[in-house]
Amino acid sequence: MGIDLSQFHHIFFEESFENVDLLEQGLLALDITQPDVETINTIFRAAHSIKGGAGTFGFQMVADFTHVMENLLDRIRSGQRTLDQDVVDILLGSVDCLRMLLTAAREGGEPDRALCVAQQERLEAALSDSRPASAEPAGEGEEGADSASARVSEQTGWRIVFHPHPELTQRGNDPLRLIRELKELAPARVTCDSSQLPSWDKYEPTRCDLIWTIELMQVVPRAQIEDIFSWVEDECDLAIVPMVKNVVLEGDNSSPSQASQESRPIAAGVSQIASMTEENENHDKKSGQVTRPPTSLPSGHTISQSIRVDLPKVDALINMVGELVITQSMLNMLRDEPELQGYDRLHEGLAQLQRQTRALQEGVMQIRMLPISFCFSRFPRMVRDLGRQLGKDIELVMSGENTEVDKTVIEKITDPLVHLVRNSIDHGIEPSEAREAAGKPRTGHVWLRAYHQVGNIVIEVADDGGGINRDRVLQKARERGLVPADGRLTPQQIDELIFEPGFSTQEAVTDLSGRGVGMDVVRRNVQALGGSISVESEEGKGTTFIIRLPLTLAIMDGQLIQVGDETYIIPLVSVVESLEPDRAMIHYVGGDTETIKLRGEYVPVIRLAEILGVHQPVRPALEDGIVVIVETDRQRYGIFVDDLLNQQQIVIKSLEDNYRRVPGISGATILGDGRVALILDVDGLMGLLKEKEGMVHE
Amino acid sequence: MSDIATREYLTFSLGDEVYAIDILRVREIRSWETVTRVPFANLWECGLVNVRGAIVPVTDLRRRLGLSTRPFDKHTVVILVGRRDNDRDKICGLVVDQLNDVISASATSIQDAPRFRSRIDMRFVSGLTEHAGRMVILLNLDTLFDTQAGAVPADLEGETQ
Amino acid sequence: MAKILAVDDSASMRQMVVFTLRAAGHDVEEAENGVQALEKARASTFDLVISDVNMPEMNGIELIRLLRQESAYQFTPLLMLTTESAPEKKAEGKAAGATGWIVKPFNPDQLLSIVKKVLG
Repeated sequence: MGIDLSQFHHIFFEESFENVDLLEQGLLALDITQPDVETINTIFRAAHSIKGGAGTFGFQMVADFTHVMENLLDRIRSGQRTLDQDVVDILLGSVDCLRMLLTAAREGGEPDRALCVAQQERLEAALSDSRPASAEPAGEGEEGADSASARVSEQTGWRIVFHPHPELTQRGNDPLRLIRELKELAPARVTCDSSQLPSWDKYEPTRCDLIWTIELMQVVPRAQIEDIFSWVEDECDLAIVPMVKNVVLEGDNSSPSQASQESRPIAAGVSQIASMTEENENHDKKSGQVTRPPTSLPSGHTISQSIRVDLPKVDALINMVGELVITQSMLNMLRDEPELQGYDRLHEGLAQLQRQTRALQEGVMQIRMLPISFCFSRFPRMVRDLGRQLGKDIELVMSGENTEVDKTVIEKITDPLVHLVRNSIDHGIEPSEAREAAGKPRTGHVWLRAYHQVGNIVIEVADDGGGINRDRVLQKARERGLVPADGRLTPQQIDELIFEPGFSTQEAVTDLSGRGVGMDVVRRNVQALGGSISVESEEGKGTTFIIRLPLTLAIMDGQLIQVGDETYIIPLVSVVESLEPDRAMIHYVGGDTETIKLRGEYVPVIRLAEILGVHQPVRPALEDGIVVIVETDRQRYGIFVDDLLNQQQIVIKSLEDNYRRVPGISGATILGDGRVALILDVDGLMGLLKEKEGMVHE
Repeated sequence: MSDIATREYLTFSLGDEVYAIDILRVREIRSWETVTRVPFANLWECGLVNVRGAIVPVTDLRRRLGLSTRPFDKHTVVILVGRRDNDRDKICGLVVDQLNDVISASATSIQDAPRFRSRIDMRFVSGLTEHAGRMVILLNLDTLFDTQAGAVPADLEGETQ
Repeated sequence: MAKILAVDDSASMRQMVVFTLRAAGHDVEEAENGVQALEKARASTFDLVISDVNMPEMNGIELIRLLRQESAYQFTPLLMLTTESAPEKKAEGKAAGATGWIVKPFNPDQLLSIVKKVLG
């Protein structure tokens, strides 16, 4: 029977890329002076697993390449090869190469063979240059596997391969008794490979020639399993291997049955057992399929902690909930209808519907949430490589990796973060000598922190470098005409200048940050996500960039406002306050720029009707209408509107799906009555005003 | 395409003239409803409507073709059509005076648009055919929504008013 | 219920074992050393033998070795009572044919659960 292996390719690639990440994280986590056995095993298992899959699915280049990597890792694991920085570097280089090979295989593209051959030669050179380890690798730990692997994979149980030697029964032990004991620990699935049984004429009833595979469907302490086998450990071959399931939410075509295929073993815990597993796999090959677990587990026994879901399915669900929110807000509007007054149960029901809708919405949005570690995980490698490249000693400290945020936010925030981290390493952290001269520790630190703060996620990129050199920033800004030569700025205003378009203080454009992409682009990207970025810096002590982002891009709280017969929405997060100005507050600056004086500060006012071309504003004079004070990263200003309507949660819809970007508008939503309302882009509006004024002055 | 290949077209009227679009592009017909005006839009873009949760722009076909405008009435409909834009499927609405029939036209029966001066911009016309003794103008939906394809020629504006 | 032979030179230990097993309904005979045990084992057939290791006359490991050679005891569970302080005895006992061991000190429940396990 021909089985089309290509149906498994998708899952193979997904799993392999995850294993490549594991490999990389493991290598980066290794302390070469005191390598942790479990980390080395994790690394080895990842490579082993890729090799196995690649061979099975016919990706020979991947299999061959991984084979050499695995050999080197095996030498390290068994102590035949010292672990030093060179080896780690070669292995990290190999990780990149492996990623390239996998990508080419997945996309059917042509791999960079030269790179692959060169890297393979490096690996082989390291192999032949085997220096035995001076000391046994220290450390241990089974349950306490390193965090890198714990984050990506989740153990679902144990797979035990048990091959009794003939003398086991001859010493009064009974394999069935042991299996029975295992089954008392947890629900188990037992398969038996009888391919080792001799032919009938040579059969000896007292010998035991069977190989059992027992899959425990729950995680129990490994010691409990080992305990059961303690009497017979020398009378059998035994492998106790964690069964893992990878926890990933990604767009793919996995069905629940495919999800359970993932619960399969990766290789073993201690080297002796690992080689055992290989032996058993060889048995499998000879015998066909006996010990190979069936591809789908009986549902009653599976303890499934997660399932894979198609991203489009999730988004369809989110859309549907969005519709529900709109329907709900429509019903809410009906509440005030005169003919519906007095129906208490209806009103109670509506209130309940509102609460439930909100809860449902939050629950559904959770599905799209991923830990920020999906983005952070690239930084250890990057910091390490950049540090080496620049000859700076840098330690990266990350915290809050488990903070959850919308998948799209993760995808889009990565580039700005990369830029900030590069910036910290390149411009922030001083060379080691300079640090020592300044009485600071040689090793520079970069912190990457994430945490939640009232409906937002905050990400900080901090360093203990030299801080922003305000004199130089100011000087540059003056040279570039960004500030008048005699302009007086507060330290904070000076720091803010680095976000100005085209601003860069680095005269010698370095390879790292100076690629013509400035902080202004970072700010723009953050703002495109509905977020903001600010900077705090202390000369000589360091710099911290603080990014605030909405938890989700799909929903926000909005202030509905009216101008003429049009309704717009201002994101509530930008609104500082709303006021009805009296005449005394209104001032004209430079002839025609309207401002209101608010607690001693002159705040410019934008007339929304004018800037957006609304036909009939109801209230032409500022003192007749309402000014909504909003705040952006750049400044605070007022938006003049006719009326404030209610505040409500809105479902954000893209204008670009069927239309195009509109200046001053960040998106649209559907109101309770089914009408479309536009969401104001608070930052973009200010730009529009400047443009307009610029035109007037010309 | 072979000579006998025929395609179906949805016809509608703008004033006295009959226009047609490829029926395969039609997604839905809706009655006219209030739209939300978009700032900085072109003159022919009426605004946005909510189509089951999607934000869809609506084009006033009369304005787009440079014809005189008239108030919308109970016969006014919005035809939702699909189009490709930057490798993405988009939906747009077209406001027309009145819906007519679906007709079949063979490839041979379609003539190139004549090169004479017309009331409408010939870039929007993909051909002419005849139905029930009347001329039917086949519209090119791709240029219709291409915002780069010129606005209403100023000199025609006065003529048609 | 099973027929069990308990072997220990320490009377208190032996009594604890015997008492516990009898309380659980087993038919238990006792012996003070290997020589005595071997005689009793040959006189009748036991389902399980539990023997201390350090005993005068004939130690437990020797007893297990000899018992294993008897055809009646070829597959019978033979357990030894050992202490953690003598791990090498475990291997020695295994080599002699012991099924497994019970580590002293143990309480009656532990003893019963092990016995239950090996008797199935």
